[in-house]
Amino acid sequence: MKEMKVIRKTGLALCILLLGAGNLWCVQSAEPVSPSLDAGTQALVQAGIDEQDARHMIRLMVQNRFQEETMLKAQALVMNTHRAGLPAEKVMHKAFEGLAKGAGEPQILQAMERVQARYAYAYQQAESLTPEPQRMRRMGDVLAEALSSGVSPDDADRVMDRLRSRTRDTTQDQDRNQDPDKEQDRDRRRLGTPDEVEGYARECLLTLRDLSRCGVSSAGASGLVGQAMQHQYTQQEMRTLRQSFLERARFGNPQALARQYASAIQAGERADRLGGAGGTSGAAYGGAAASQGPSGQSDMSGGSGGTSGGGTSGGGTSGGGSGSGGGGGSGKGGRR
Amino acid sequence: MRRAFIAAVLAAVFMQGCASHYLRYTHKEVKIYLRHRGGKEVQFASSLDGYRLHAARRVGPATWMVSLPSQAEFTYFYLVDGRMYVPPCRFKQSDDFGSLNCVFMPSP
Repeated sequence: MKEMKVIRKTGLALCILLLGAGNLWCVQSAEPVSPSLDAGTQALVQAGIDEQDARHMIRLMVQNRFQEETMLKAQALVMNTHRAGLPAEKVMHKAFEGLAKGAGEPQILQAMERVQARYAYAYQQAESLTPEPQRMRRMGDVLAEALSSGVSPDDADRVMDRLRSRTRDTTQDQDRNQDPDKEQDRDRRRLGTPDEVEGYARECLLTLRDLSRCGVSSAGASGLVGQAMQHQYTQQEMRTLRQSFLERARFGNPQALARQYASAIQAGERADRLGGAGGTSGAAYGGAAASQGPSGQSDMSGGSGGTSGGGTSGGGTSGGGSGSGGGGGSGKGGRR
Repeated sequence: MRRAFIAAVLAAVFMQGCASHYLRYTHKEVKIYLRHRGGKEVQFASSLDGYRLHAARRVGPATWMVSLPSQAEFTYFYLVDGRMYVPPCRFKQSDDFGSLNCVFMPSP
């Protein structure tokens, strides 16, 4: 009897030992991370990068059998982005996106570099409007999104130049003796507090971004925003312009509508007269009525979307550029 | 010439029936529907959680649905049978891989 008990206990102990060892082997084989990669992850975490994201990036890359060199480059890119005061999570999320799309190693690294360069440019531009880091980041983020939506750096530069000159106008207006005849005009131009500067810049950049997301060309979007700025549109007017445009663009050609708006502004129309009745009806931007219940309408139907290989041209959308086979980036996007 | 034109029109009509994409709103959610004939498995990825893949729920013979919070802006795309698919959508932006992502923008 005693022997049986000893055998049972030994067997049980062996089972537990084997299970433990098996689990350990499984964990290790799921993430066979080299010491240099592990050190890279540790360095990222110590620098303040989200640990989950840092580990997730390497885990996904290992699962996709990426070369160690690529993974080390990706980690270095994330670290450099963070050290430069740019949003490292955006660069890491680009890697996640590429991995989900089955893009290849070079395509993922290139895409990560593009994101880093875009934010570097956007933050530098935003810095010229405000010295405050938080405001700068908020403005820079919208500018980076506008660039990602298809606004060219040249067109973005034009809008930023106007914004800078508008903030300079403000300082000069405050210094100068005020001409009573131009009181109203100065009120429109005045961007006194940092809040006003940020609010106005944000509205301009959001308008630029949303027009571009709608399919308006870079030149068309920057031209329209430039017209509005030239005609001293206020922050509220810029918002009204954007909202009425998005509302009306649901039912028409956005590019033609942008031209129509630009002409109207050039002719002296204010924002409340641009969209007919003006303002929005409260409908959500996503394409369906924002009412309760299943009253949605089609966002868009039909179309071009093949399941792979299409890429984009002009304002249209078609199936993805990267198939799951790891090619990545086979489409030719006209957008930045 | 005429035949080519008719073929193009028929192809366009056929493609129209192949896929559609629409949104419906409830209180704090947006339900995103994708109608895609021929797809067996549809996965959805968005910027909300770092593009993790989620199986879309099949709600009809060729219709899939995902439900998401409607307050936040996000970009998204699908994988249909493992291959990337970007439906025609109202707002889009570059994905830095040579294609586009759809953008969901909440109401102001």
